[in-house]
Amino acid sequence: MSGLLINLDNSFRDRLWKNTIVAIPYLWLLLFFLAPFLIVLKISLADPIVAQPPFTPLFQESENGSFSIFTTFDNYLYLFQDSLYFITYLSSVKLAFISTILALLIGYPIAYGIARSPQPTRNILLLMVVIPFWISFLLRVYAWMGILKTKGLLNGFLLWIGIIDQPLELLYTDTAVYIGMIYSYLPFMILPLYANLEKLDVRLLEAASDLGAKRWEVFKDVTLPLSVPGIIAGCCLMFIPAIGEYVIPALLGGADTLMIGRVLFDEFFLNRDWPVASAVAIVLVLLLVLPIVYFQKKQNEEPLTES
Amino acid sequence: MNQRSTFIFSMLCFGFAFLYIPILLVIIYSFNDSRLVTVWGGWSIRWYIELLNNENILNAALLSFRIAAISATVATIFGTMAGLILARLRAFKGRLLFTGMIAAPLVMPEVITGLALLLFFVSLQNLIGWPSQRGMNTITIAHITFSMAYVAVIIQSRLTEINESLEEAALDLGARPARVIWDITLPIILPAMVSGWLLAFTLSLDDLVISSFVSGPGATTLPMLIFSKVRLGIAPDINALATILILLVTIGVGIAGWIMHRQKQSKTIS
Amino acid sequence: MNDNEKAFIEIRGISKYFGDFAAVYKVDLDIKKGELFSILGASGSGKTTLLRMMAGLEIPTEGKIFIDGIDMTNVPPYRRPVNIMFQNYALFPHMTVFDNIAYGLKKEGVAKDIIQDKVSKMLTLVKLSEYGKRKPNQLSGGESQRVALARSLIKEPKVLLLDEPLAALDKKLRQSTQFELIDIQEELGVTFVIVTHDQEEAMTLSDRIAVMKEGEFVQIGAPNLIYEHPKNKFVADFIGNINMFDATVIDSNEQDVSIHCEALGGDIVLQKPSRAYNIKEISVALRPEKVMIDKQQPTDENIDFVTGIVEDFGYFGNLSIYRVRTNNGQIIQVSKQNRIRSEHTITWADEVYLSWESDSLILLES
Repeated sequence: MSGLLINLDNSFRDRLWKNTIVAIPYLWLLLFFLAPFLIVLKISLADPIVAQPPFTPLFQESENGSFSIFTTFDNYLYLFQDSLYFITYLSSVKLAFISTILALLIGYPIAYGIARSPQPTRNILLLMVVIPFWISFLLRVYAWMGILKTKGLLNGFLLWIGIIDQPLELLYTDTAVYIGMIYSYLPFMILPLYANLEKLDVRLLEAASDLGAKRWEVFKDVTLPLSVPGIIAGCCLMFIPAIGEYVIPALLGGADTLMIGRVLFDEFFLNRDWPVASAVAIVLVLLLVLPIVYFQKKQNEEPLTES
Repeated sequence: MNQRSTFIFSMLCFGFAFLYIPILLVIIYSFNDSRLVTVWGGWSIRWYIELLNNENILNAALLSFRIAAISATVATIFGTMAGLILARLRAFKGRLLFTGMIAAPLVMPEVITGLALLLFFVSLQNLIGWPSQRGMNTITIAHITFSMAYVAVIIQSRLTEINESLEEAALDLGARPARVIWDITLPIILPAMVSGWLLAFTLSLDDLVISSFVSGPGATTLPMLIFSKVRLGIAPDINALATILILLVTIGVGIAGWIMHRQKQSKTIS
Repeated sequence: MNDNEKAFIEIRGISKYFGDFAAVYKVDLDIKKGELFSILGASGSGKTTLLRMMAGLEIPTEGKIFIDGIDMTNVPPYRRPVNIMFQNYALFPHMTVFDNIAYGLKKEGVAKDIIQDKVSKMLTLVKLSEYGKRKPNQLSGGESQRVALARSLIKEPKVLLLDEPLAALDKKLRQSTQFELIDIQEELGVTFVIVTHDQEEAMTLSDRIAVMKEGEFVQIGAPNLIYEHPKNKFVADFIGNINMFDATVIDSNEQDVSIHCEALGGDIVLQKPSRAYNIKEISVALRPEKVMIDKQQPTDENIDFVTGIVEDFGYFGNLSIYRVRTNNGQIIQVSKQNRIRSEHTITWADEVYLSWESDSLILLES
């Protein structure tokens, strides 16, 4: 259309320059992002064999010299026959969903509190939300291991103040996974909520109370409906990565904590069943497409709801 | 103070306590003399000394920093190009696919990206013999691929804030498009490129899952080493390592925040 | 056609589509050398798109643009003898005022000492000699505007395109800047093409105005022609205030037109119309300042008048505006210069006589 990379009847030099700028990142992503996914798709349709690499080739030379495509849907059928995978998918969705809701309940008042703070404090509080985000994910999850252990700091504290007389079984349970998820992804929830609540025009709240709304009603009738885009953004930013999470269930979860990322990792490295792992990956991608498309749609709608 | 402010205030206190107590405990216990991580045995810096003498950790840290520096730099260059395309080239063949390939790495579970890249590298090796060995090269390529998407998004959102008439004015005054990028666009988006680089560096330094997939024998990054140690339980020298990294990050974020604060101030003064 | 008459910018059948939407549709335009030409239109009328096509920032979907006889339709902006001043000035925030102005010369590869010399002269011309080392964020709105002007004039373009040059300035500054712009234009003899939505700005600045609506020109002409002889209801309504009434043509020939207009008190004869009207339903327009308002009945017997009651009245200092409801229920707006420094003699609920010269009436086809 217009602008810097305008499609004029330009000289060869200008066109060459423009095409180079487009070609470099484009080719890189085609080669190292798209091509790998096509290969996953291909391998998910192959048979496992004991070899290196452990799957049958997609194209096979038949005896008369012509090539034929060799595919099998056995791996996908296997996913549906073995109820373990179905349960794992459900369990991943459940874990991610409940952690997202809990994080929203914790994150919303925090984001609201930051957005309503006076200016110098607000920036410092915001910075304090961002700092953990820059600290290694792995180390932050690890920090909870020392707290949640049976002989750990939390149990020690609770025993000391006398709330419990038996140490709680926390580490290597689903509870630990919930805590780890909320802890790790809380900044992802707070930041979009803050960005939304900060833009909220205070005059709208004043108008509502001027028209007779009580404090709670002002929140319920004005603040909450206007922050829906922030809620959706925060929930999607947390739910999508949480569903495929590997590190948190691996470090904090028990043997019975079923999450798809972990099962896929194990299928791949322990069982070395690459075709089944590929099929698991393809199904997971399809599973993720729905919330992402929903998120994208909501994002595009956002300007409309604001105007 | 009224009722609601009390509620909000206590939620803020709880929230920040929740975010920071685990980090503070790691820092405190890194100075614990006892090998039993949860028993306090008096102050000591023995784990720091042990850390400095642990060649495996130092090597892994060095490898991680090298990969992070290279991948962040390349990702910033490619990501800036991609951001320019997304923000300034509105119609071209294959734009939809390109937008998809930029957005997908942001939402793709790491396990899947890692798996896909490993299968790709294995297939490529069978096909053309490259990469003959997986290790630093393959990890760097993987990190460039996902971090450039983050950089592209940062650059794109910065460019949409900048009025295009700045670039048009330069074109109008006789600068060719390539010259305009160099004279006008890049100086203005430089702060965004720096944030992009820092984000790419941190993402690379933090990455465990993708590195585990595409790494080969002999190439162990710092997160891989930490993970293999803490998987078996708590390790006191990891507390010390964590403390050092936390300190570095806090200083870095503090400096960045200070610079941003000063830039804002100099803008409001004028 | 002699050399003075020949158009400097020739636009031939130019259109620009964004998808299915025609921002500019089959526009023809000739602009003479040294002219101060305005394109006036509401937002979305396509005026900025037309200007951007002259600058080379937008490629026409069809049609041709010639500047000084050379086809410029597909020439990129950096090779056109044209410069543009953007609406928001688009000053490079990371360069000083001096570097902003010098940018165009640097791209031409002009020697350093010549650049120094030319930029200094230009800074003097726009009265900013002391501002060379400042950054754009240290300038006021009026100063930014002058830097933008200097930057777009430094390459001595044959045509300067100005996109809403005064829109970002406050009212006082706008008036003084208008005259500065005219002075600079006269001094340098550059052809100015101005895009604006502000009719006052267009009227005071330009030699000729083109009124644009929905991608097409409605009327092109000198400011007084457009004001006094609008071609249709849109132009009459868009430029200035106007009273508009329905009327029917009774008789029309080369010498005069007889119409019947209920609002203006019955049958009226207009001398020397510009043409004959063979349609029946027509509109009669009358500018508020052309209506005389008085408590006494006009003495001249030849003059037409109506009576009415002042319904509303606004005092603006230099003038007063009255809304008068006539005896047959029509509202007529009247503006009156406050020439005498006295209490207003006409006020609410006064009974008044409204009269006008018959050649003040404008006939417009509905």
